Amino acid sequence: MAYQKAPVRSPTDSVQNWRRLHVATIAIEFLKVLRSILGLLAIILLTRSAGGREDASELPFVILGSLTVFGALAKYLTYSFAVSGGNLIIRSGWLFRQNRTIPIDRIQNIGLKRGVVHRMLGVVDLEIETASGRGAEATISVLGIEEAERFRQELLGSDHRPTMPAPTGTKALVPERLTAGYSVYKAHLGELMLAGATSNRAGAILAFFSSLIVIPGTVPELRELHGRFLQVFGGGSGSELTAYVSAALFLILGGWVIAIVQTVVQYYGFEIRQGDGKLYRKFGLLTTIENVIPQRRIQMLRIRSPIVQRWLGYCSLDASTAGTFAESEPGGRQALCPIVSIDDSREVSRRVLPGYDPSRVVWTPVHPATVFLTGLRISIVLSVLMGLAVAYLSWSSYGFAAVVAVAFGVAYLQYRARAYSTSPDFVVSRSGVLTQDTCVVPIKKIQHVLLTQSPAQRRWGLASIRVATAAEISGGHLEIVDIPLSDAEGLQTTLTDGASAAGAWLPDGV
Amino acid sequence: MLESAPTAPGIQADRPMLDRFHGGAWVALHPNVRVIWVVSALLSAGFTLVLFSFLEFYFLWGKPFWPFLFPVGALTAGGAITLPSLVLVGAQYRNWRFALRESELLIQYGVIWRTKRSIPRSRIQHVDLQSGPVDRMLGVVQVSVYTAGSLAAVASIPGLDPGLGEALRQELLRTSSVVPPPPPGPAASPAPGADDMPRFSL
Repeated sequence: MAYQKAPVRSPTDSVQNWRRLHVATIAIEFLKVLRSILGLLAIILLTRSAGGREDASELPFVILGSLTVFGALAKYLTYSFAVSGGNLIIRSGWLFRQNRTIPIDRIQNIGLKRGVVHRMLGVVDLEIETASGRGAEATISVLGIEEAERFRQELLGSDHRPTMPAPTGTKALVPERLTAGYSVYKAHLGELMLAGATSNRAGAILAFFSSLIVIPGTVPELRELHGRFLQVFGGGSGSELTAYVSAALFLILGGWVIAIVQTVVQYYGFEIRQGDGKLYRKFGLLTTIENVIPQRRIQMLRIRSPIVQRWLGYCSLDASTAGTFAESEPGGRQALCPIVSIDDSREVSRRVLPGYDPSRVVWTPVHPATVFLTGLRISIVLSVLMGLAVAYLSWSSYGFAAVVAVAFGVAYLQYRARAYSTSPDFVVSRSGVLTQDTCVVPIKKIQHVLLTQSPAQRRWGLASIRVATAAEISGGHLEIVDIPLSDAEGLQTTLTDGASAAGAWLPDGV
Repeated sequence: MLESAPTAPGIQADRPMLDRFHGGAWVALHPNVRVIWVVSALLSAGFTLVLFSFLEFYFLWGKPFWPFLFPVGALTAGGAITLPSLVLVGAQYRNWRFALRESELLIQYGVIWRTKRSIPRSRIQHVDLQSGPVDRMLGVVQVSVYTAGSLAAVASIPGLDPGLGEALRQELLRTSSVVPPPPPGPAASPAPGADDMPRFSL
């Protein structure tokens, strides 16, 4: 049968008023690609210096460079967008063409995002969010500030969105929505520094760097490096101990400062305003982010409190959402308060999850047998590590008793930390010794409930519960470990029935 | 009501069979699923044998008695991996069960580690019916249930009678109040404009 091509009329055929990106797109795009191939460039540089061949060594750079420039140019030349017939139409690509149509009345919000380079060039990224619950639906990158603001007003203020307020002038980058509503939370500079200083991240950075020091000592190929390290940190004394101690101090301080700076840069000027069932966030020193979280999209609220913050009476709040907007925070976990006093966190939780009252949570402890079960688990892991240490580093084997003692001590602390609570609308769990984690899941957001029993748990008549939400991929789930089987089964039925009664799930619904 | 839900090609929904299980009684899998488990255990044994043969050639070549050590090592490795799952096939079959309750789909399985999963029926986004070559030979299908935000299936019921599987699929879709997806078929290239459709699951 002969194939006849049907006359296709694309909705874009009649569009006249195509708009182009800002010329700075070329620069921004070039830098973006450059950043993504930085690793590749480093490898080429390294192999070149190692190989020592001078001929043809410039070739990779020439190829990469021209590809980058060409790609940036192509984006600027081929990307265009227009508003037509109630739709936002975006056309892009040269080899692979793409036409994207977004109905304007589906646009939930438009975010503006600027990095350092954006600011120097006076441009912004326009992130267009729909209710699809899946990140930014489209990012128009980049537009001049004034043009972006005008276009934003045009989209949000068009007839399709009669509820939006009238444009307030083109000069203001801060749109009216960020001054609407009322402020829920604002981070001060001192608090942010405290957040960085007390986040347990400093430990991770330290561990990473210390591995860099210890490993060279044991690997023959890196002996020379190790020798140089001893020279630098040993202060000429040649003593290994002095070198290690001073290096450790240096790294602790360094990691600490890095953590503080990171936190301040990331969350500078953090503010949340609330209004119209939405949370408006704005933060960032170098890359500034403005975005909106519809409160109904929050699947889980998490209150984290690293040990030092807990002593000082502070904690941090984040929310797992089913669809995330900010690409800078992959995985759908959105910071709500980088640091907040525990008293204030109760008020913020109340506002973020209407109906949830932290002061009325009655904790149910888990079963005491968890001390034994957890102690056993930790002992096994530690003993394996210890065994390796004994076998390969010829450490003394007397430490096993100490390992078991430590394991059971930690297990007891974990037992004390673990608890859960249910109400008709929420299920809450608490755990963690070094960092206390409290998770709150609205029962109507539950996707499924899992009950598991390990052989050891069966011996004690215990079970664990895992409550999954639509943000499960990004850690949006809650766990209750080691509770009596009958309680677990009752909880599973209650939670499932509660979720079922709430009806079908939609990203912004229920 | 049921006529509105599309039927997978070639499979007739066996509604009476499903109705027998109504009222929340536990349902066992099709007995043939044991054959599938045995076959997959043997396949993994074969894979282990091959892998170990290579390793042994590398390490044992030329060592004293190596022609005798060779089969002993390979068989031990293959057996160590396969025997437990072969031994447990019976218990696994006895422990595998599911129930269709008024508001939830319940699934329970596991011999050593036991799991009981409950999925509110209103949260089910879509349901797949799958059958591989071995499944078809043995006359069973697999029903996979997905909820929002799950990349892989939240629950897969292996080895169901095709009629029962199809009836279960239709029943789950009917009550989930979500528009049912098109029936499973050969993967087609995405329709033009598919990218513009609102996406609800991650």
